[in-house]
Amino acid sequence: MAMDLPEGGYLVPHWGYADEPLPCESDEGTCRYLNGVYVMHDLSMKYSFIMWGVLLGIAVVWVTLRGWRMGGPSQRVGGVIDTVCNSLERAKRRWLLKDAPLPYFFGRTTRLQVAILAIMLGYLLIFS
Amino acid sequence: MTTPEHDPHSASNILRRFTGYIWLYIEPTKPGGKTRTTLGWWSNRVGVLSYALTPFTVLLASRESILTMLTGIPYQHFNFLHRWCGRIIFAQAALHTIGWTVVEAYYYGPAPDVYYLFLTNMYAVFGCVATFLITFLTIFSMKRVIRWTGYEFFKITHSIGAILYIGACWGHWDKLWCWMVASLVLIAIDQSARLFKTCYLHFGGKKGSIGFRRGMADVQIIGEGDDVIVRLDFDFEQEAWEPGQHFYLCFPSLSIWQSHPFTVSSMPDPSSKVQHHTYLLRARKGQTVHLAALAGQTDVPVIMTGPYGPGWPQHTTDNVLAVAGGTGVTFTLPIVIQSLRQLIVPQATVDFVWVIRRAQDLLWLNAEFVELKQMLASNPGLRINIFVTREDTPHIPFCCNRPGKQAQQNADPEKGPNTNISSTSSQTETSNRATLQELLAIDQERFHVELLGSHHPTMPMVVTSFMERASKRGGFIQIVGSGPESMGSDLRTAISTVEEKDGLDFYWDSRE
Repeated sequence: MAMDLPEGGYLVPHWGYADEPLPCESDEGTCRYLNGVYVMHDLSMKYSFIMWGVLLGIAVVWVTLRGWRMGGPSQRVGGVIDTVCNSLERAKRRWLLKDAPLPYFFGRTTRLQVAILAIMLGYLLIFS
Repeated sequence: MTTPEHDPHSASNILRRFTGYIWLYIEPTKPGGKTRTTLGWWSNRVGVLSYALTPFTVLLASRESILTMLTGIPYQHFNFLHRWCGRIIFAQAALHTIGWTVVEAYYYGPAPDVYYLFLTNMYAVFGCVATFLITFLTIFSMKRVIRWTGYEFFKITHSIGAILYIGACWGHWDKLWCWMVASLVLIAIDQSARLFKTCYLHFGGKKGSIGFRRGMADVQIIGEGDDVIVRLDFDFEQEAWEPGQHFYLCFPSLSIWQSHPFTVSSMPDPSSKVQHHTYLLRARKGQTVHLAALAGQTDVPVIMTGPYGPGWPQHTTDNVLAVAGGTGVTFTLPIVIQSLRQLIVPQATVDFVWVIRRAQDLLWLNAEFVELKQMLASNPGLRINIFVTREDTPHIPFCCNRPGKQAQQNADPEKGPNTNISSTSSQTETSNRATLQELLAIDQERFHVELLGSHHPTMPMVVTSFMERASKRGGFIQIVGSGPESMGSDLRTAISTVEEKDGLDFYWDSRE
């Protein structure tokens, strides 16, 4: 990509990649290929930020709920959010506390851990 | 954009547009030129995602964990995901490397000249180094390999290797430095917080005395045969921790490169400036064996970092079930004693279940155990169940060390464990026998010792028996446990079927 900028050309910055010199002056095939490199890279960046967005989003929701449940007055107990949280905890205990299958593969761990791993793997597989 | 000729409205194309999925597409070779494929695009996608995953993986590994601060989940629970994220990064690095190798060595002609030329690029060299390092990190963090190389080797190489890997990634693609800086900053925060915590404990202390103070531990061996533990005792001037918390202990006379987590089994005293530490370690392999060789010494230096982990009891004590296997009692015993001390309603159901190999194991913590036994009288809801799994009659050890003077403490359990060891073996034997008989004596209602011979108590039975009494009374239920991982599995399975009305919290203090 180390080519001289043509006259009247300009550089388009891409986060995490070299600047893109435009307009493309090579043959049509090369230009289409290079354009693809940049488009796909921008998309990759987007997916990694979405991944972090989701992670931070979960953290924010978690912290808010935790603070809300810990710090609130007692009338919050029995409210809608409290009930939902409690039934989620019950469901977790009922379904996800047991040992995960394939202990020789995962070691001795809970289904919860393996389920979280599966979700992460799913995201990464779909988006790569 | 991904592939040119396709029906844009087909289901696969819509999915592809949404996910940015890249099909392998090969444009026919032109004479003498490059064969254009989408393999490079895809390899870059995998590489970018692996960079983004790096800071998260570091975050999951930290002991001074930001995640723990935010979520309240103990840092040990992130270890599983840390290991698997590491493996995912390894797979991504491998695919990225293989992808570009195929592109440069096969699709870009004329081979192999283009490939050799490509390898002279600095970023390609750094890429190869990074791939080598992540492979090293992955292989040498496998449990079987650690067993072979030793824990110390793992600990040193894993942190240095990780920092070098992050550096190599930075060199490979410096335009994505943001992820690498974030990773290095997280490592720096974790390490300096650990250092600060250690220094905070060990510098200062008494007014006027400045300098590094170490704990001076008294090392004893208790037990015999296949059932030997090392008990450490020392006093240290510091603030009180909370029951159930653990410290990382480093024994500089053995190695300054190792520190291991141990739960304190002695009770913290918030009103005192000096705290007494008691630890039980099973002498199995590695450093604990070397420590056992120091038995009888009273001045083994200890450097601590901590305390770590959640403190207990976390709720106003209603009902507590504490299940311990072997040295897991260091976690449950202080929690139960503290719960009973804080008890508002004396009728609360509190079950203390301890599974031990041999009756002699009661000698490990005899002063604290005596205190617990005495609490039976004032707490009608307290039950103590001891299960002995390898004996059908209690056997008194003949040899070994010597909780000698502790026999005398029984008269005055308030004093806390005595660290002074001096008695001849025959005296020891007599006092051991007397102490053990006293500990085993079924002199109270709600105190049971079951000698099971060669099997284990079933966890569903333990949980059901507790739940019957606890639900009759109502109130919040707290279940804590620690011990062998197989016991943790059984306990988790038993708890997953429990029905309760007023809330239940379960915590397993994992030792792995």
